[in-house]
Amino acid sequence: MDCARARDLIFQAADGELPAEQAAMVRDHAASCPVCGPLLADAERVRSALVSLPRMTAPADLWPAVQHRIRADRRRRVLVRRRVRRLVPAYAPLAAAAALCLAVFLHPAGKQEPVPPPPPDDVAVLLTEHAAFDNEFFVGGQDFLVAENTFSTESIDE
Amino acid sequence: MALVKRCQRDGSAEAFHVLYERHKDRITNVVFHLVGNYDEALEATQDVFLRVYRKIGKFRGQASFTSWLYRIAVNVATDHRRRLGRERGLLAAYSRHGKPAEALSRSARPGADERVADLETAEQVRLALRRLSPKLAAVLTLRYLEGRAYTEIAETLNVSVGTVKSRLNRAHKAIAPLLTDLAPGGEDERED
Repeated sequence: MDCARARDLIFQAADGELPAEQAAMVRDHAASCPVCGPLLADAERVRSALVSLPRMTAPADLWPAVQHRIRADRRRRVLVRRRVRRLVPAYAPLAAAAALCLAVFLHPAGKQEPVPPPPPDDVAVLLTEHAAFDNEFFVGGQDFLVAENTFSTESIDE
Repeated sequence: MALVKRCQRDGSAEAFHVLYERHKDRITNVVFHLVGNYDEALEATQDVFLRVYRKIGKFRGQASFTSWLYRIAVNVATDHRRRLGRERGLLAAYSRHGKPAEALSRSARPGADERVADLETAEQVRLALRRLSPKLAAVLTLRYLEGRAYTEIAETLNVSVGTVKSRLNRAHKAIAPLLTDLAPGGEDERED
C-alpha cells in the first residue's frame, strides 16, 4: 500500500470502519512509514479524545420551558388565525378589486405592441442604399463564381 | 413510530412528552457541543423541540425519526452558533459569559460521566471542536459523541456516505493540530 492510499484510509482504520484485511494493510504500512505512522496515531488520539468526552444531559427544568414555549406558540397561532379571520371579511372586496385590476393590467390582450418610431429621412435613405448594395453584391458575386469556374475549366482543357 | 403517528394524528401532548424524554439527552449533547455555550445551548434545545412539535405533521418517514431529529438539532445549533459568532465572537462569548464547561456539565447532569480524569483535557477537546466549521464539527459530534454510523450521518445531513467520509477526513486533519498536547489515543474505554 502506498502513502497516498494509506492516508485516504487512515481515519477509517482508526475508526474501525474498514474491513479487517484492509485495516491490517493500513496499519502495516503505518508501522513502517515515518509519515503515515504519526498520522494514524493522530487519528486514534482524536477519536479517543472525542469518544471519551463527558456527555451533556438535559436539565430537569428544560421540559417545563419547552412546554411553555409550545403553549405560547399555540396561543400566538390562534391569535394570528383569529386576526386573519377578522381581517378577511373586511378587506376581501378590496383585495378582490385589486386582484382584478392587476389581472387586467397584466393580461397580454390588454397590452399593445409598442410601435417603433419612424427613422429620420437620412437614416431611411442610408438603409435603402445598403439593401440595394447587398442585393447587387450577392448577384455579382454569384456571377463571378460562375465565371471563375468556366474560365478554369477552359484553361485545363487547353 | 407509533408515538410519532399519535403526535401527527391528534397532536397528543402526552405522546410528544414521551418523545421528548427519549431524545432530550442526545439532542442536548449534540447542541451543546455544536453551539459551545451552555445557556445558548439550552435555548437552542428548546428551539429544536419547538420546531419538532411544529413540523412533526410534515415528517413522512423517508428518513428515520432519529435522523430527522438530529437534522433539526444540527440546523438549529448551527444557526445559534453563527448568531453567537456574529454577535460576540465565539471564544470571546465563551470566556465572558460562559461558565467552565465541566462545572456546567456536572451541575446540569448529576451523575455525569466522571471517568475522564483530566477535566482540562475535556475542555481542550471542546474548545478545539468549537474552532472547527459547523459542518466539520457536526460530523465529528454525530460520529464520536453520538456513535452514529456513516449511513445514519449521511441520512441526517442529507449528503452521500462519500461526503461523510470526506468531511470526517478533513475534520480529523483540522482538529489534530489543536489536540497536540493530548496523550496518544488508546482503546476506547467507554462502555456505552
